[in-house]
Amino acid sequence: MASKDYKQNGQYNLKRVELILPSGDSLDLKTSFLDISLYESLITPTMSGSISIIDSANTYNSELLGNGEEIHIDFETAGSSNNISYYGVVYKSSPPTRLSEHASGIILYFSSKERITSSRMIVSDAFNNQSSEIVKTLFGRIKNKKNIDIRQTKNIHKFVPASHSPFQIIGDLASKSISSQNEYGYLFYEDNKQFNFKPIQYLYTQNPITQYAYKNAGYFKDVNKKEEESFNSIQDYEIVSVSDLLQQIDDGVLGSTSVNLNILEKSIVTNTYDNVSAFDKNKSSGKTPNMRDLTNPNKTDIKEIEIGMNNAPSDKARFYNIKEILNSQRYAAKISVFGDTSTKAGDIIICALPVWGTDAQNNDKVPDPYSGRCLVFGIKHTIQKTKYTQSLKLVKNAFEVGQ
Amino acid sequence: MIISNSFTPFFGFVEDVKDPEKIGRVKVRVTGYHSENKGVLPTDDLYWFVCLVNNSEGDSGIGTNPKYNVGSLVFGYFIDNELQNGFVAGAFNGQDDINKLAANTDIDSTIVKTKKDSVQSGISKAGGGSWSEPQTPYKAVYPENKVTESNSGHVIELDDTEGAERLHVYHRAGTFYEVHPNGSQVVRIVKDGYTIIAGDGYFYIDGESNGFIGGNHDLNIKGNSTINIDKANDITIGNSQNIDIGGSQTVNISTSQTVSVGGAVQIDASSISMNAGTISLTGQLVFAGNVTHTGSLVTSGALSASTIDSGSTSLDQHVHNYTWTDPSGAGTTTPPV
Repeated sequence: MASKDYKQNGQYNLKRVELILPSGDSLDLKTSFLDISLYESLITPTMSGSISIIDSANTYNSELLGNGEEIHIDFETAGSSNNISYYGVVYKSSPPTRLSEHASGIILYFSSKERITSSRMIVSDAFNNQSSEIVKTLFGRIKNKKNIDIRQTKNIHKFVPASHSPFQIIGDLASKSISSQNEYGYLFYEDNKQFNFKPIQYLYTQNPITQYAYKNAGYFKDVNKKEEESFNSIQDYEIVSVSDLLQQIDDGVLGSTSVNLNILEKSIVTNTYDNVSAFDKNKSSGKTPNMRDLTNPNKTDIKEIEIGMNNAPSDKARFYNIKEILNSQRYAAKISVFGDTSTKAGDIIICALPVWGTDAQNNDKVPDPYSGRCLVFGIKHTIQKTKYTQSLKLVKNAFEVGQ
Repeated sequence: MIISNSFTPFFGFVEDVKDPEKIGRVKVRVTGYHSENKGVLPTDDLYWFVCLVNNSEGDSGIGTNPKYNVGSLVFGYFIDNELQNGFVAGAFNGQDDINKLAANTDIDSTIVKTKKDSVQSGISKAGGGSWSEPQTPYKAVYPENKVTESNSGHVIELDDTEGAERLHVYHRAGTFYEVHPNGSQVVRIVKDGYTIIAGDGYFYIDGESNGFIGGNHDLNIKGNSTINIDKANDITIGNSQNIDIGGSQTVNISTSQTVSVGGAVQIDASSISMNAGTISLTGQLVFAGNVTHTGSLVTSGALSASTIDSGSTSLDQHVHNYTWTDPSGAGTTTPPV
């Protein structure tokens, strides 16, 4: 974990909030915005967000906002050299809300420019290459300001686009890809630095970039490091409601079977999945799979029937990819922390969540399975006039305890 | 709980049928999904889609193979969410796609006209008269005629038109087999014809048989041959006839036999035996060798021989006794002694 120059927590440098109108004119929103929300998630290909502004110049009506204006947001945590430079397109505007006789409030919703570009682009030519190479080629066709970081795949795919956009194809490839290191669960997503095409099993193997712990307000272990302690403290947290057992059974996460029929060969290949046998502690967030006792040894919770011919359906990649990603959703927590522009979706952090109980405050041996290495599945950046905070969605597919 | 593929219907045009795996797949450019620009998405890049076949077919080589053509408008389904795998369920007949023989339209541009123009007529009978090849009784009424026509022009017709029912198999070269409404069958072979029967062969003609061979005829029978003709047999040979008989020949004629030879007759034999009550010769009988005759020899003409031997008397040495009775020299001789 890199050292940081900790400043007053929640402080940030807002370098640019600018709306570029179709006419080419720009509006500086640094003074007129109320708050900015910026989202990044492992299950969405691009970032998105919203900005609330005070419209005192009747801009909403004169410029018909919400129809493709460009928005540039550039900011960084105070004391950090890791800035977030975001470039999006406004796709929707809320109706103006009266604030006073002289001003109204509006919310502009935006998404990354690449999403708009991809949606308006049809890929017509066919590919026959490794998935990672196809992704690289497709991504290169979109005018990007960001780069893409691709985890090398090992399987060759022929892909004949059928009115697909580039991001659709990349999403399809993600579901069938296996990394050269035999990692499953490919995800295509944008974080605040770059685009990514990586398997979730690889993300689990990364070194943690920071750590957060829950502490009582006003209490510091070392007053000389109170900025650091505050910065790394969890301001608020929430255990997120996840799929219940019935839903998990329906999802087949605990044990399922895939029956693959190859029409050409008139052959049937059966693949099975269960949480224990598929678990690899070197490619997970902990040592022991979550909810291991609930694993269905007969793998009968769900049966998937896949029919194919051109792409060998006997390949279990798609089946395992889906299960690996679903498996990560069996435990989730949201923590609110002071904003750190060096944290991005897909990072690993170490998180110590509180444990409630009579002995919890003074007994180190109270079971605490959910603390430890967590994958940042999504981030909501919230910039207000006075502070910059983040809400991190954390997931983990394994306990720290165990073997 | 079972989750299965999602199926997406499609329409498209077949662009390639030469499946390298030879399993009847076709390449389809799916309308609305695949680029129409072949420069961007060449036919080679399209996937091979399998084709459904008729009920009970498509197993272990039994049944008919799919017969889609390049250009066929087909209907099928993508069977995956990524729209990569699909199959063809069938093809559509457009307004110009019904076979003319099925629709009985513009028939002069079809094989019906070709066949009518090439009918063989006036074929001579050996016994006089002639016969002709019947014309095709094609009189199809839509939609009774089920026609299958290949790309090169081979045609199979199953015509259920009432009163004009036919079964017709036609090769593009003109050779055909056609069964007429009354059950008559016409087989026309425009080039050579071969019939090979590995076992026994039987044919039965209840009525008249007429054969015409324009060229030579060569018949090689390895075993015995038996020909039974209940009535008369007329054979006309325009030129010479040579008969080589390895063994003996026996000719049994119930009544008379007449042999008319324009020139000489030569018989080469070690001996000739003739068992006849009477042998009549109207011409001269010439013997180069000796003649032995045990019965009486009667001739109304001259008998000339260097030697006539009657057993004890020879013509050159025998004597007759002469009795002179008349001074003028006339008298009577006695038989030879």
